Amino acid sequence: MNRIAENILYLYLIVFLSVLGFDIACIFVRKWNEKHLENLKNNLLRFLSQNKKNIRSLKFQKQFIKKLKKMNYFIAFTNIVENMDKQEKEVFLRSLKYTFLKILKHYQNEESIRQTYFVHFLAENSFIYKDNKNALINYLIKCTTTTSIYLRENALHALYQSGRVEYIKEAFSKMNYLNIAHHHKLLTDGLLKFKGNSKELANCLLLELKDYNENYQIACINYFSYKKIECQEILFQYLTNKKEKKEVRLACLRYFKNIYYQPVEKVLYDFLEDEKQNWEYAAIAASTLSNYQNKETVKRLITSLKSYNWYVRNNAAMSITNANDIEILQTILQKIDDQYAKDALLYQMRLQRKLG
Amino acid sequence: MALEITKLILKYVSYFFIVYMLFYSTFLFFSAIMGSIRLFKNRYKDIMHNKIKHDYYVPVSILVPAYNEEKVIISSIKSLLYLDYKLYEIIVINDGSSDSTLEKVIKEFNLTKIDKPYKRQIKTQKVRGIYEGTCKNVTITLIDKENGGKSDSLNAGINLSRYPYFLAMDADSILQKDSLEQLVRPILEEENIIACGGFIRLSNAVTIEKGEVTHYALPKNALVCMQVIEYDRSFLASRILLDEYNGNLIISGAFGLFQKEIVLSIGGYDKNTVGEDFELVSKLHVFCQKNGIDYRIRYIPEAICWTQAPSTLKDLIKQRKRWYTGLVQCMYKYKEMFFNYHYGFLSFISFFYYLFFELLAPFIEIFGLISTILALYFGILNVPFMILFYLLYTAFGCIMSLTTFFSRIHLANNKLSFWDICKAGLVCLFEIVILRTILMVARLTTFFGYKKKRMRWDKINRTELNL
Repeated sequence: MNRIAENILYLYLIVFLSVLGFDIACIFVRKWNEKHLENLKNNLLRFLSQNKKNIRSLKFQKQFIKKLKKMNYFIAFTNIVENMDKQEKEVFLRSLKYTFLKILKHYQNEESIRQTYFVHFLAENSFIYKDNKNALINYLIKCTTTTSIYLRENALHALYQSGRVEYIKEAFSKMNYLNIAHHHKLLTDGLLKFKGNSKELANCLLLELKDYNENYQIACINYFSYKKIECQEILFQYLTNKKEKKEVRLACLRYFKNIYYQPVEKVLYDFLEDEKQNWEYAAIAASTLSNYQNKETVKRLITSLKSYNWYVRNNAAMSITNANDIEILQTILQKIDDQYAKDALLYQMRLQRKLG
Repeated sequence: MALEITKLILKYVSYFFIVYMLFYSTFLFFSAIMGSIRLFKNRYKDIMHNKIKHDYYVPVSILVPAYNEEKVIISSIKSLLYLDYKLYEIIVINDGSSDSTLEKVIKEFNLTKIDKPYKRQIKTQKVRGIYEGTCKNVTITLIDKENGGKSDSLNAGINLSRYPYFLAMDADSILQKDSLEQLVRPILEEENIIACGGFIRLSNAVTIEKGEVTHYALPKNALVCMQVIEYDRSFLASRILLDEYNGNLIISGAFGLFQKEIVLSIGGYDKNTVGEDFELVSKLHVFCQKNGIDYRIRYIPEAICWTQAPSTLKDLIKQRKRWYTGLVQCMYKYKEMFFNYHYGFLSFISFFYYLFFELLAPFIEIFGLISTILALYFGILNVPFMILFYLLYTAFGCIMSLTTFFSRIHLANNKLSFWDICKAGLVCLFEIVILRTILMVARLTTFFGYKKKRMRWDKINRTELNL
């Protein structure tokens, strides 16, 4: 027993010594790597300047591709490109289109971490691939369905940079079909970075909306909301359809806060009345009503100020304060006999500096 | 006959200790190896652009409970204003301080008293007043309430928070500029994350300017230096291993991000414990497992929070006694996790580890010491083997500590002087021999006066932050 314990401890010691050695080596290797990267960069720069005139020659391409297949060389290459000015970079990279199609074959079989780096480089230099649908585009669309969130995100970013609606449509359809879980916030933020015609993109997404699952629907509706896309009639149907998912309907409610649509007013009143069944709808409806101000709305919101639910009360107070001037607010305040309601309204008035 | 029985018992006791130490070293072994691998991989991923980088993440409420923190509170809040994060609010909770914490915060940030209606979702001590103001476009809210302890203060902060996630921290902590972003990223990467904890590092000899470390060195104070090694081992080894299978039972109270909705569903922080951080995470595990909720509690070593370590022995013992009391209270409360197959790894590894190697460790160690003396008395102690085993074990501990220390240096890209490297090697040895003995004694004496002190939040002397 004693002997076994002793031997195991010796074994641990040896392994730990190796790990310790590894860590210390890593610290030195990192320093060496920085120098090595500089050397590779200089090496590559020399190679490129020597072959400036025969950049399209087969011999050069072969040698260059061979170098870029090595990760360290590729990193050195991206560093060189990053330091070029925009125009020079574009001309240079466009002339290497064929090269990228060739090295794609290599990188698409690499581990996802390396693929992510390759795709990140493409995303930063969209003029390499965006002009016509080629193997690079197909590869990027394929990447949007992988398990690595980083690769997916970088691939989507590259597609947004292309400014081509059809690529986004295809990627979203595939991701949706394969039920890829990609946070709707990431999708919306990405869509907002789309470099092409946003109206065209919105129209395309609108046509696809019914086929998407909840996550993609929310992402699209939020995008329409931020971009103020006029699609009230369609979203009104989603809002009023009780079979739709709650989060989708709530996203529609938020949309109507940004985009006015008169028929929605009645629905908002109904949500307010139905607060005991569904306080979340009521709370967001109270907030949305700030965009639908009239006598009836104010009346309804004053009633909601006395709601049992804190959020409904608070949002109603915010909406009333947003849309009315000091005199009206003072009159409302005098009429309220509920202390909670009074407090909520007073706080919002103070926040918005409408206390007189 | 009696002598024979005693010798037989001592023989089995020695077997028990060998098995115990082997289990412990195996756990440490796997955790340090796993820690090193993960840190190396994370750094590689970072270089290869494997990260989610966005302008806007989820909005977060930062809760800073403060009880007599006049020395550090202003610099702590100021450090929060340098966070590289777009949408957050700061809520400072003055827990009935008897010093000038309240006045200092009001004056420094020009806060005004308001009658803010808020949803009292968790019962807390009476709120005396709420103050609000803005600084660098960040809303700062100060809650002045009657003394009720750290849990009570955090609950009051949750009640007043606006955003769906809250970050709980200590008043003497400083967040590194990118720490909040690092901590929030996993929420966008995985759908089921309910809490994230970060890496706590000791700020005693560090200079931080605008949320960035400008000078890093090992502290001159040997006690603090030993704690640096201890923190690295704990945060970069065991927590990473436990994180691999969602088994972390603790997110440090100095730096933890939580989903507000789920914390509200379990009634917030428990006021009847001094280990509120351990208790909350254990409660979240139990709640989610019982209700079949798909959940994940993450540990992110790249998210860094700097905090002050006690620099005197008296303060250190006070702090460790409190931690140990918290551990005892929480482990007793969640004893259902012990050897319960419903909890899987959480029960058989995490709970087992905390029970045998943390909670019972001081008793087992003292038992070992008595057995050794008895064995020596009866002449059955294999002295050469014991010395060799102890030396091997000490060397093992030293190398393990050094491994995690250098892993951290590698991760954080810190630059150390040659003297600091030598110092680290020396301190590792002292940490095993001296600090652990001190902590063992501190833990053993926790039970003296337990009833009186079980809810007491002993204050530790703070020095002004080196900002």
